[in-house]
Amino acid sequence: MDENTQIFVSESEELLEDMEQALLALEASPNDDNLINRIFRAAHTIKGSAGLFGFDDIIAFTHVVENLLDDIRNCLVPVSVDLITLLMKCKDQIVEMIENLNSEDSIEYPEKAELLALLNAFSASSSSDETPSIASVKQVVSLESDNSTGSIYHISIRLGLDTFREGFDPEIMFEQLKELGTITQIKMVQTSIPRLSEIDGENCHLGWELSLDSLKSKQEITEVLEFMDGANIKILSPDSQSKDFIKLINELPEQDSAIGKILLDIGAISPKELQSVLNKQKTQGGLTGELIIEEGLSQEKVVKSAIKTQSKVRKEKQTEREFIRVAADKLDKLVNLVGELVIGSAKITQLAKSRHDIELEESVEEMTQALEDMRETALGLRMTPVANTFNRFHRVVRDIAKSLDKKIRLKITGGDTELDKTVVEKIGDPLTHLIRNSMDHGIETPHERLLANKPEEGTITLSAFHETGSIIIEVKDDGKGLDAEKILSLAKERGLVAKDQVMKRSEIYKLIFEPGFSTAKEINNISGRGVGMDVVRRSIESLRGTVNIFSEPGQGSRIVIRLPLTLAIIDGFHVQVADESYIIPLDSMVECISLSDSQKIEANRHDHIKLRDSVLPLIPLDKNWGINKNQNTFEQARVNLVVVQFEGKKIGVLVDSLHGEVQAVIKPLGKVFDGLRGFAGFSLLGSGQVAMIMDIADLAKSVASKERERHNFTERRTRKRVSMTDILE
Amino acid sequence: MSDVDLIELNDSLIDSQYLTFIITDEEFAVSIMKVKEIIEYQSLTQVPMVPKFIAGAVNLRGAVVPVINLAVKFGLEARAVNRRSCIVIMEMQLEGETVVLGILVDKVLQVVDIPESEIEPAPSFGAQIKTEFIQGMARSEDKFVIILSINQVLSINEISVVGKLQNENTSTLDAEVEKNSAK
Repeated sequence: MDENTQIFVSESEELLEDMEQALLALEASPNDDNLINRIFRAAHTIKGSAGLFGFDDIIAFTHVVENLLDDIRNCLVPVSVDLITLLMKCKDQIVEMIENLNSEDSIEYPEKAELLALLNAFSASSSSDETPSIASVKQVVSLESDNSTGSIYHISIRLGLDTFREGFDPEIMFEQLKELGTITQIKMVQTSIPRLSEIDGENCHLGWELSLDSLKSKQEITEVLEFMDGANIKILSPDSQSKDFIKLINELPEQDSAIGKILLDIGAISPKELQSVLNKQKTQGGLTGELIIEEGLSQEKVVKSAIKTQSKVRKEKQTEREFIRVAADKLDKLVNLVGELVIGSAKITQLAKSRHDIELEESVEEMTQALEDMRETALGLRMTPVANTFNRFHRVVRDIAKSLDKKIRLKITGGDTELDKTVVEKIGDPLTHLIRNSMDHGIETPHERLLANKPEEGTITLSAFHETGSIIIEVKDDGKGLDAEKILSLAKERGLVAKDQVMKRSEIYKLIFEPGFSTAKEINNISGRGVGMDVVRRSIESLRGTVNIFSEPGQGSRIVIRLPLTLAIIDGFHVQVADESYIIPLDSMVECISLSDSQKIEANRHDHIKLRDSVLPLIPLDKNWGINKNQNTFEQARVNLVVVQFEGKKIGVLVDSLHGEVQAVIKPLGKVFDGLRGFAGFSLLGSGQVAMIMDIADLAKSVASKERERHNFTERRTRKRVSMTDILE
Repeated sequence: MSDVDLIELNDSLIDSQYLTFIITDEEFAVSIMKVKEIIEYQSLTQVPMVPKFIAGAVNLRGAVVPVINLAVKFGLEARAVNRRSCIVIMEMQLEGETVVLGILVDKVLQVVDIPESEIEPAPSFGAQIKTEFIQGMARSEDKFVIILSINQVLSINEISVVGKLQNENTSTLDAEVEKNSAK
């Protein structure tokens, strides 16, 4: 896909996203013209852009959609639920067509014909058989020409920067204005045209102030001008007074320009008047604005407001937030490079310290500070608000509620919470599944709800917030809650727990995340893929997150997902085993213990140790990792014990030395080491040495499965040993 | 002959230069097209639970690069690291991804020009290493240089045996462990 097509795709996706949001909102308030216009504009712009690239399929389809939207806009077709559903399907269709732009073969869309038929059926003017062409993109609205003098409108137009790129021809706009009346006065605004050296030929800097003599209503004029996407258009009615001028000034998107110019442009003073004021200014000095008031050329308040606009523009020029679209891999590269710099600076800090040079140390310290800030900023670049993902669920909830015949409202809070982009992208599917589950199993039918003294409409709350270095995402419903007994009996039936096992309620709830709990029976049109909650848990764990479930019978349930702020860096603990350095993620650590002599013997001989009256199993690293260090002698035995935990279980790891906390930049294992068990990735230490980051849960599991294999081969004799397998059982 | 080999042959037509080095007394050569740089041997970080031919990982200016011990891979008797030992950094395409890898060699010799015409096909038997690893043989003074078909030697199937080595049926065991952990 070339770069331009890429831009088209991403822009269209944004527009379609917006269209969907607008459609959902329209369902709630069917008479909102703004929403209808938003939807229309989205479709229109996509058609326009598609026209530029010659994507005929998309043009043809969008054209028909647009026809219907136009009818809706003109109140020829009433907004109904069916209509909105149809339009959403059309949106999906366009999304699919855009997604398939890349593919070589022409793809058949079985639903397209059906959708087209439906669209035409809905359309008031079912004469939309005309084959739309690229030319029709420029859609010349034919209006009755009217020459009779009516009222004078003052219209100010500032075209959008991308007007030419989007394929609009400003000339058409004038053609259409001429059809509405007579343009009695016109002036081009040149203030926003940059210097020749900075000019980009494809940018549009045009703007006009014009007077239109017309009999038409303001509404009709607005309609004609509306299709100029991205343009800023203001229309002043003939009876405009100073109040309107002020309003106009306030709304002008003008760049920094002279007061006289502003007033002249909006027609508050005439060029002649301005000229005389400027002449006076030359001889007497003083401010233009004051002079204009002095001369009584314009009302004081109008001028003041113009001055305000001027200073506001000047201020905004400095604080204006601009967005730049940046390829994700460039960001990753930057974050990586900054990570390297941090490592490099740690090395320099060490060197500086060994030189005992205060000045050097100080300047290194300064540099380190700046680097820290830089890293924070670089990591911040990858953060995006979760709202983009969350808003998608309005549609999901609407569609599923409909198919389940339930009334469900989705409430979103904390949409502006920021999360690493990778996490945001990957959290979508698990969330869909959780919401789907809540709707399917959690929320009751309206009838049941009424009987239970609850409002007919169920509520699902999707919220996000920060909590001590993590992001919490919650899916909460006010449904009937989980049925602990049913879960337990199902789990027993499937052999997940022993028949006679007694469990706490909270433990029972966790069973739904077990693999093998959900069955293939679940495959229906809502899920469509039959994934179980274990997949949800696994995908959240792959993001180094955790998931928990709370439920109150009759009150609803709450699923809490805890995610790390970023995937790029973890807080770790640097340990040494034999000659190698390893990093243990800090969040899985419980404590470090220096072993006493007697414990040393115990720990190094068996794979477990007695710690405060309970037995702590140890991961025998040497055996599993093939580290060949003779530890049988007392002097060489490992002296430090790191207690780690996962899924509530504690285990011990014996190490030689503890080097303290580090912030580790995670480097993925890469192609060659892909699939290596027990490790989350590599990291670089301050010394430049490569260290491996342990994945405690995975390590314990891989050790357990290895042991099991061993046990399967050599017959188990008397089981006196407490081993990894036992603790996991 | 596979496509990969054809491409490599074409490369060698354009550029018939080879880097020669010694591994366990044998002289080998690889096309310089694949060689990124040569670094002095530095202590490697051991990666546990991997096949022996993976010598470890090294920090190459901030990137973690796996290092392959070709002597082990070829079944030769690996020599101890000496002051001439080097890591030849290669850039490979593995499954459409650019992967940087290092190979451990006992001594780097030189860059030589070997015209296509002087390369003889690999003998079908009698060679020390697997014939599919050999692109051809070339005479250098009085002995033969083995030109390695590096795409074969460092193909994903050859080097990424990590997953295979650990557990044949990892997934089923996993499920079992997870199941048990709930009890």
